[in-house]
Amino acid sequence: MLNYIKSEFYRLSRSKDLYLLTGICSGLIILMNIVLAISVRKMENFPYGTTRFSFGTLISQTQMLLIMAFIAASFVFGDEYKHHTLKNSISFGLSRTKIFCGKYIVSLVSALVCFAIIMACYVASAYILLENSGSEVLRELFLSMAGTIPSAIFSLTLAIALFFIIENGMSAALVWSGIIIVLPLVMKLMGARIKICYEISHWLPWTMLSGNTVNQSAYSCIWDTPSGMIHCFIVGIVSSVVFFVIGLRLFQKRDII
Amino acid sequence: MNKNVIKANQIIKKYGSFEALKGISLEIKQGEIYGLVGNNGAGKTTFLKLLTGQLIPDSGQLKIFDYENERGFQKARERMGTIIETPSFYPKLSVEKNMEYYRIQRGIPGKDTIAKVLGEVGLLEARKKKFEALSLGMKQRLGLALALMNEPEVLLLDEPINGLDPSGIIEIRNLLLKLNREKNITILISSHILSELEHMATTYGFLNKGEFVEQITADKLKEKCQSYLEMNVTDPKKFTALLEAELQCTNYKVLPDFKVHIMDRVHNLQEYSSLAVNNGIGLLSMEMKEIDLENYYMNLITEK
Repeated sequence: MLNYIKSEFYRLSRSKDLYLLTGICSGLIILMNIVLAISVRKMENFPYGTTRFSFGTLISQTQMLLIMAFIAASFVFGDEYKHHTLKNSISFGLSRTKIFCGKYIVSLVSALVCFAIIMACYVASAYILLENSGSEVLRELFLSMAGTIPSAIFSLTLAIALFFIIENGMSAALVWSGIIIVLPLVMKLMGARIKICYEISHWLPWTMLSGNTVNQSAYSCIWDTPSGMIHCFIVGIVSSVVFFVIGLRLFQKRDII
Repeated sequence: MNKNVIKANQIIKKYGSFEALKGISLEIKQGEIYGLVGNNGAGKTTFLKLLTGQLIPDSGQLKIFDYENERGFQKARERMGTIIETPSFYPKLSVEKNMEYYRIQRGIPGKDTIAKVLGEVGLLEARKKKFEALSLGMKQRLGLALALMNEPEVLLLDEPINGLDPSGIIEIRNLLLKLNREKNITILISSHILSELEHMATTYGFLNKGEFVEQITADKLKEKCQSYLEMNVTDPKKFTALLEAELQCTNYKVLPDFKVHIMDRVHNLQEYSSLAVNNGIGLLSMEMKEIDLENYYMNLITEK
């Protein structure tokens, strides 16, 4: 499996996709901080030119990391079915298990590296360009990332599982959005009338993460308490394990046309 | 006696309710060039995909080298090179980078291996080209280069000359023959261009609609192939009845397009033509022919 992982890293390092993803995300974040910094200079009493506001923007939208994880997974998967390239690995004797696990590890590592680079750009540009609101906001940012990463890993696991099971990438993306976004929102809506649906929506990453309140006057996030953080980890780890096993089992029985 | 490198016993493969392979059994010996012959949909590619692990059989036993289970097959496949259907690579990567990707994946030491195999298949000059920019013939050559990169003991080739120009076909054929003779590489090659197989195969396996019809060595096939008289008549049914009644000829075959093949001709040609003409049967043409692989296969599947 080590050779497979090495070859995948070789391929990724030679294609532009992940560089573009990292570059665009980092660029957008730096641009946001630049706009905030310019606004401070141009407008009197502009209250948002602070690291608190900048970091708060991400903390209140951590679901975006779930989408980023999906995009990273899709770049790593590399349209294997569309290009019919899996057959070259299978016919050389690589087991489906090695291929699945190899792709998963490469996706995970790549996504984490991209994430680390983007976060480094985010934090550095915020501290260089904006008014420092103190170390507390940085702690809040790191806490939010720690609370969100398990759900992002679940999003990535689900994406990889679906890409391996479903031949058409677009269909896989639709199923992914159905499970990650639509199902939790439906549960939340139904939760207004049916209590069990409300309870379930708290255990689904998208709605779990959207329950945070972060603005200039209020701050309340699920990961603030140890039990909340444990809740985030349980949701991420359990759902990742479940979909990893389902994806692997189905791929092991799948014909590669 | 060479030992078997591939042995299939009663292999069944279904796609939903459609049975693509209906209990295939065959044996391929070390050093053979085994030509797998069959129409489109006969099951050639399905059988090759079972050997490569792309498909999982529904039932039956498979033996590759000395391995009889999936874990063993994975080891066996490391000693095989394959081209199944159209060669597939990452379109945005160059020829060289695609090969490097698989060299790393397969743990093959030495970067010079890539230049060596690309040279063997005549693709060294195109090594910087992106895969998507290659012609079909060049893609086919790249597929062959990948199949040869791990110095395989067995080559599984599905329609390997697709898209090649005439000189390319001769080049690849000579390369395969050289590999077979010099390195004793066993080759299982499927093609519907039967004349091409005739140049190479030492053994033939005939498939028809998912069933294995016959396995025969090239020498035995030569023995079986005899000359025959092809008559094109307006009423084959009446003509064959007359053949049996008046000339006591029973070894004939009726084919589509009003054709009758008379296999062991004991009378002179005039007697056959008179038989038709004197009985009011229009004689459209009459020709002595040799059975080639194509005719042999057509006869086999019409019999079935």
